[in-house]
Amino acid sequence: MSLESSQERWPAAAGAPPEVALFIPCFVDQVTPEIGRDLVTVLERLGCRLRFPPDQTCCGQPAFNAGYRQEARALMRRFLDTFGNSEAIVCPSGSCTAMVRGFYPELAQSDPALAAAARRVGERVYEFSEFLVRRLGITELGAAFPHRVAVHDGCHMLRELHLKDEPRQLLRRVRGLELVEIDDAERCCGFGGSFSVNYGMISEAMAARKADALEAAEVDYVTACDPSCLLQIAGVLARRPGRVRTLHLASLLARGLASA
Amino acid sequence: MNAARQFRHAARAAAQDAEIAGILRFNIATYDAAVALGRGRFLDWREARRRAEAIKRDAIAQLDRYLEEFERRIIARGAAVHWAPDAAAAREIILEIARRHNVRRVVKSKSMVSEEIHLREALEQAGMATLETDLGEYIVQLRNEPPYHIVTPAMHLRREHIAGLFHQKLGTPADETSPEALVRAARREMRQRFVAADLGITGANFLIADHGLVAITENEGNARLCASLPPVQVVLTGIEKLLPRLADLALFWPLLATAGTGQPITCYNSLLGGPRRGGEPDGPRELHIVLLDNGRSRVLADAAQRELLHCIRCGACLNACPVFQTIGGHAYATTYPGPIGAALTPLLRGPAYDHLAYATSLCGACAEACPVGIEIHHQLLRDRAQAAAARRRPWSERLEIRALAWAAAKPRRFERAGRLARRLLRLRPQAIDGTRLDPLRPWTRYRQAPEPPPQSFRAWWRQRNSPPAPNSMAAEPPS
Amino acid sequence: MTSPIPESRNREAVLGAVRQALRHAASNPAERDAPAQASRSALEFPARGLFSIPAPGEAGVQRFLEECAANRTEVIQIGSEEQASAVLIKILESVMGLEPNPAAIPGAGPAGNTAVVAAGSEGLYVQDAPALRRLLSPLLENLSGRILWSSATACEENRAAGLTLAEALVAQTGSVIVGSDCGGRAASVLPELHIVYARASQIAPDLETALASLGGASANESLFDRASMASVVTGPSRTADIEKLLVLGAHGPRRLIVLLCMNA
Ligand code: SF4
Repeated sequence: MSLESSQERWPAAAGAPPEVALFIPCFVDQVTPEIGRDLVTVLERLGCRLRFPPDQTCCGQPAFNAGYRQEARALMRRFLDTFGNSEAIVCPSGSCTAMVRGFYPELAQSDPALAAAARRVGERVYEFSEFLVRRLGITELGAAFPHRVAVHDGCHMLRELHLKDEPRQLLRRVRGLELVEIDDAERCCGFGGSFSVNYGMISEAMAARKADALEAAEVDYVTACDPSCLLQIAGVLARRPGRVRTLHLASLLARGLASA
Repeated sequence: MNAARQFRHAARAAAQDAEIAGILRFNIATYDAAVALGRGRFLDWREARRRAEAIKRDAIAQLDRYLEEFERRIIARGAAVHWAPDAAAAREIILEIARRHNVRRVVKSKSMVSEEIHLREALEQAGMATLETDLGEYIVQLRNEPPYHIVTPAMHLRREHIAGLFHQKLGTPADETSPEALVRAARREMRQRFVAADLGITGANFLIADHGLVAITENEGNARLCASLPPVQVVLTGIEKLLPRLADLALFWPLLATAGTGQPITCYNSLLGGPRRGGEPDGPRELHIVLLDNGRSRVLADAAQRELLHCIRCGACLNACPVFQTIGGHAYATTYPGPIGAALTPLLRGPAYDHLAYATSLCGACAEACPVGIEIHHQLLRDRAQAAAARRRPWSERLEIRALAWAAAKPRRFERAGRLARRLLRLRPQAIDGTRLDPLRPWTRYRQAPEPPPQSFRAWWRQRNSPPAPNSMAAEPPS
Repeated sequence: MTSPIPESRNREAVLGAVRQALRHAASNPAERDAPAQASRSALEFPARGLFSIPAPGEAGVQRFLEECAANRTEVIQIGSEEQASAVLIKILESVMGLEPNPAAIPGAGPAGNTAVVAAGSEGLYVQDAPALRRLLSPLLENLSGRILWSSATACEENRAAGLTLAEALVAQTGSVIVGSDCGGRAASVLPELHIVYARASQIAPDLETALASLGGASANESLFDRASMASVVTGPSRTADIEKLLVLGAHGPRRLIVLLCMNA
């Protein structure tokens, strides 16, 4: 089920920014909460009214990816209950967005009512850069970030959500930022969830190739819309002598707003 | 050692082999450049894929009808059609044909299905000298290895390796490394064997229902020779190779060539309609077509996974796969390596190969490369679902997922469990980082772990949005 | 087969399993039917609109020549039959320079020999067709005894060249289609040199048209009712199995020459 880009479905809507329900993946909540905080900073700056539905936990992707569909289905039900009434749901992870929009319908297919609910919520969930560029129609935030920055295209962003240009559109409008296209921007960083620990030797070799490309391009930062990719890349970079740092797109923009 | 552990060892060794990494990188970069040019020859590559997918979907959805139509038409021209439920049956059918003709010498062209049923070994055991005549296959046969890649069997070798091999086996000069000379030497050697062969065996790339034809794609001409010189020919192929109509080849020939090598069309695309006709000067007196099931009908029975049968074995997904690029073809220890092999082998050969569906980051580069639009990465997820549902996964994994699902079932529980885990992790001394004592070793053996943050996002949010009240649950105290 | 009963049981086992799988799966809602509906017309003409195809006539010839240059087919444009004979004899002379391989060809003379086809065991293997008999008639003296007609014998190892007609040519890909009625199966693949004598009017614009003409307007006009095999040949035999480097003449001809008669 390849997912249509939101381009056709959600023309940039003028008018007041909507109320936004924050979908903070379990992993961001517990391991990289600063990305969530930076997301809040950026969205509030744009005038969005934010809500954090407190009943959310985990969308079920880890269970789904490992093949445990029953367990994943239970978490999907919780998610759909939690977010069922939200008009716009924004998530700082392409991967978790893809889980909801792309994989929930398959997970729910044996139950037509559930499948309908999954599709309804799937239409309202946005990845962060997608929300800004497609839904709000905003690319200029007035941020400044005078550094050489490369983008890593997360696999779910790229191949499930078909979002490649959206983060770049935002970065191009950041003052002082030099956007660098690296070799292999679309190559998988090797994270892959449980793959990264079950087959660490393969995962590491994949990440090393990404790190090679970043170091060869002599960038200061690599940014992405997936905290898990960044964790993998940062983990490998930290053990190398190079000086490339990782930064989630929301964090980059939040910093850029602060210093502008 | 079981297949999963063997895989792990082989993958580790290959991932650390800098020489093979260089060879693969060079080969695949050359391939990528050729394919980029080749795709440019299509006015609309995506539309081509959509149509190919629609045609294969139709072919597979009416496979029984198309198989019978193919059979009826090619039998009418004097070919014999044999049906093999499994590998053993296919081997027996072919051995029986060979025995009936007192076959001593066999020439073969490239056929992954023959690898699947270990045909060459069976023929040799029965005392028939069997020669792989595709140059790449010939090289790996001389090295006593399985093919490394389904389209480029000797992808893992430099010309120096091949020169050394030919020097040893064919007596070429030790310093002769020019590809021209090496190809000449192999050609000369194999010509003798072609002329003397009693049986020719080929695969098939497509079976054409509406005209009853076998379509064979190649560049070298060895398959044509296998179909021209020996007095008896066997075509061995899988039941999923059907295309409804001859006209479909106007799409599938360029598509296969482009995805396989970047060529606009391969050098030789042959159509076999039957054995030699009266009045023809050459060609086999008998043509036997062996249609192999060997698990394919099982895949067919699962509507969600049957698109795996659309595969035209172009090899594009192997080249695109970062895991294949890291571990190469032999580590898989399967007939079909790479993404399509990882998705298909657990279904065709059973749970012993479940691990392959897990040895992937699910990045989807394979699906993007696939000329018939198979969503291979989603099929890998479905393989995993089957393995987990049948309780074939390790208990530890099951426990982890259950624990996660249990914790995430209630927000309060989730928060407490997260807080506890972060506290414990903050006690992890830096000195054990990455060592066997490290509870995070599966991660930290290969990369640094992040510092567990003192406060979760939800705690921060609560604190920020409600005025601090004493004894409230709102503020999670920084631990 | 010695035991026909298991064979028919095998047939039922495989076809039965296929039928049951299809019945079983048809009711599964997971089946995505959207793409199949999407392209009904694509199922009719699978390649239509996907490639740039030359208009028939002059453009087709031009495209054929370009594609052949790219795939290493040598095309010689010919105005008349006499001219064709003259060109052919030149080629046959030069064949002597085509890697005289003393190891494989016992008695191969040194290059520069004045005889047209001097090597003892060699010869020119020719499809027995009126057009080729006419083409060769001025050369019969030079070639006496060295022509092997397909009506008399099969093409064997060590022929200097195979000379055949073609079923059709394809502009889109620069291909030559040879059937087994073009002097058999080996004539166009076994010798080091394959020479095709064809007319420009045989050029089909694309694969779709060429395949349709092979299939015939109705089932019994198919090429395969008179020929047991056909090959779409696009350039000389090749391999890139060694370090992705292109080498011509892997198993089949190292050279493919098309004598293209321009007048209908
Ligand atoms: S799955 Fe697709 S890309 Fe892979 S070999 Fe088959 S047809 Fe080619």
